[in-house]
Amino acid sequence: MKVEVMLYVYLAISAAMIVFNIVSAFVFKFNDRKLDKKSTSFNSILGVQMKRLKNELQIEKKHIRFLVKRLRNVGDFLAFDKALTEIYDRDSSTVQKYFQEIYPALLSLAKYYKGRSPVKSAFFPYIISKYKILAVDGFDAIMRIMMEYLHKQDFFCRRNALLAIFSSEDIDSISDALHTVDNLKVRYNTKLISEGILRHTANRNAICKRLLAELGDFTVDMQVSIINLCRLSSAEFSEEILGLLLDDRHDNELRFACIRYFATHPNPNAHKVLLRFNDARTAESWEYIAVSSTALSEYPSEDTIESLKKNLYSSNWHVRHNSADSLEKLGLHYSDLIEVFEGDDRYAREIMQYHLDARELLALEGGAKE
Amino acid sequence: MTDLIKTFLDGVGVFFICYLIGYSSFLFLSVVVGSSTLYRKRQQEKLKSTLSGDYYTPISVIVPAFNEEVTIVETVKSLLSLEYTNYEVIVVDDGSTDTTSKRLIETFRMVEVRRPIVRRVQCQPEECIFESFAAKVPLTLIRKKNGGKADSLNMGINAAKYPYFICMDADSVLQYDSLSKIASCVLEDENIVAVGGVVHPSNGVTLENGRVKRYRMPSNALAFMQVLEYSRSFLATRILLDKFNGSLIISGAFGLFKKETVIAAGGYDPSTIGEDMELVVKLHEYCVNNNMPYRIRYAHDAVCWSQAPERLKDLCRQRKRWHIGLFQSMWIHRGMFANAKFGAVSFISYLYFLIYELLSPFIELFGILTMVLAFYFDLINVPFMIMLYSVYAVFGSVFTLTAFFSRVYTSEMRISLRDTLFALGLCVAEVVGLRFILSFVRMASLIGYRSEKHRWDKLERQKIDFE
Repeated sequence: MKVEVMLYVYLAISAAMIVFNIVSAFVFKFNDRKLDKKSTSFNSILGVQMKRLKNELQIEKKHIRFLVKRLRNVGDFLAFDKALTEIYDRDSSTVQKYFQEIYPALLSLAKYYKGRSPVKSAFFPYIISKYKILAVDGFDAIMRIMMEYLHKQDFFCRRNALLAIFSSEDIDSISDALHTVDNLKVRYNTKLISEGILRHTANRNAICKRLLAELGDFTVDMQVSIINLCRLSSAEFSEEILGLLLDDRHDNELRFACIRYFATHPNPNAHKVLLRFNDARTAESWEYIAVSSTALSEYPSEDTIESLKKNLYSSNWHVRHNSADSLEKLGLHYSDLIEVFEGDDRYAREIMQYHLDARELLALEGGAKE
Repeated sequence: MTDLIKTFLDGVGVFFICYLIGYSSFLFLSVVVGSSTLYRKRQQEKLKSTLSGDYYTPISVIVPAFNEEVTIVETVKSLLSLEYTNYEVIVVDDGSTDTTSKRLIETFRMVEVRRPIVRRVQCQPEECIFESFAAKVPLTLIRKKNGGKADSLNMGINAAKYPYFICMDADSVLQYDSLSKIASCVLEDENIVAVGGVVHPSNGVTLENGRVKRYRMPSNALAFMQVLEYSRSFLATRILLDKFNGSLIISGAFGLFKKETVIAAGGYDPSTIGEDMELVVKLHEYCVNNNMPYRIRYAHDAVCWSQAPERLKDLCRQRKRWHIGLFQSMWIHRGMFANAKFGAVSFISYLYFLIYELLSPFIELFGILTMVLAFYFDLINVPFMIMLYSVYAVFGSVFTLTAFFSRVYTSEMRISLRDTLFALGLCVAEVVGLRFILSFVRMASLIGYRSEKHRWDKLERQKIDFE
């Protein structure tokens, strides 16, 4: 009969789960309604405080105590966020002033949420980044706590904290945060770093300058993220990046990122270097040739065309493909490539033909090629 | 003689007790882990603990097609309306004998190009290539000699421009946000080599630009039962296996793969029927053997809508092929069995699929035969047997319903009272009826399976309900 008992136990637990599901469904439904209701209530509470701020009065002390108490409940915090979003859309400057006034509450909540479950914990830095709270002076203590959030296990918690720090636009803090993340040996997708800074900061050039100065202190992954950030930001780092490109002690991935920088920001000084890479003929150099073949599409010259034409016959098909693509982008026509079309290499002929045909068809239709 | 039989039946009894304890524990754990994961995910979404879809990883979407003239245009239209920017669509027509290519060429104003394709993984040669230059994203049609689905996918991999590719079925529709959801896994962890999406039956559902406009359960009972079955499979078992990197299956209807790793592992195996499972098992084997840090994930919020067969004949044919595919994958990679090098993948995933998926029809048949034997020798307690079976049926039904309702409420879908009542009734029918029919089909599938090679899983297609 033991089997029977065990099955009954499973049955009871499963039935309990059904009840749990039904209750959860109702709770979710109820919570949605409750959120709207709470948000309306926060709206009127916040309205009073915003009015005070507009009248040059301070936020009431009891409001700060109220926030410390209420916003510990993440559901209430959601409603607070919902209400504040509506006000922020109308009047962001008063909301910024409001955050300065409720600093003690924010500080208390920053500490509180740091110890909460990962999902709840990640919500606090999200709020900080959403309203760019750290972009205003005087939030140093919260900034320090955000740095501590970077050590949390949860990916989203770390990522939201990073975005909160990026949104401060404070160069020292951003640099510190990247060093912290780097030292934690957690691999971040380079997009999350470079595009994260790009989207959350306005002062990108100053940040790039600082990070380039400290480049040697970072791991290769972070170095690549920094070069990508520079590429997406400005052409003013050509000198420094050319130096990195020329130094063969650097990791290949870093130097590839440098080549891509010069594809986005053409620089006459980089042209010769790219040609040199493109003309290399060692077995290990194919990746350099493939990347530089693409970059050379931005450097029209006889030398470039000759170099790319040679690479149409490379033993590596990535190189051939990229060279053909660049020759097309350089605006060459069938008549300029007679020797390719009359040559013996079928792949070179076909890949070049394909790119030239595609250009014509694209011009006719105006759609997407790549 | 009777003593011998009694001893034998006692042994069988012990075996089945262990078998059922293992199965019910696994199912129970699946539901608990699945439900709690879905609950947590919904909380994460509410509290903004998710990656927004604005980090675009370039993706090639490969659609292998064979005689898909009924659905192919709508499928491609839905792909072109996805809310994602950096992707391309590659349709590989595997020598269709109908107007699949013609319909695409006409609808999307495709023109023939002479594009050379380097064969990094083996596949049949292309006959002609068409591209559309009028679409939002690059659209390519490759018409090739017939070689099967795996062969077509290999061609798609060879033609793919981007570092990640998605394989999908030509009769499926990706939900508008499916690419950003599945790609966000790659941003979270760079060691990811494959991500499986969730497949929901589209029968009864009305979609508009990849969005669910009206969600209704299928009016066809067989399709309805498959909705319940898919809920159990996708939202319970796969979530559990995902917890320890133990997924052995990524549905051929929707999965994302890292191109270079797949090429290095040899691509899809055209000699197998279950090419989707075979590739995933192969990736495990390849990464472990090469000491590569890797992760195979399951994205339960990346949704693909696919047609479930509405005729028993079609369903049986589909399941027969799935079972042969399972057998082939497990046989080819039998080195993973009880191999400490593969850790939990070997001792939990492989073992689970071996015992509770591949061998289960045979074990069930063995159980029935021993019951007949016991009945003949009057060694069976019939009331207890009926009670045990009833408990099993209710347990299975409750389990299925739990998975189903978890999916419904965490996806913020609404189902009518009528559909809820149907679900209650049909989950019992699925457990006590359909499951046995399919069990028999799976058992019979391995007889003469070799003749199935290279054939496409052709079901009667219906036009997808777009508005």
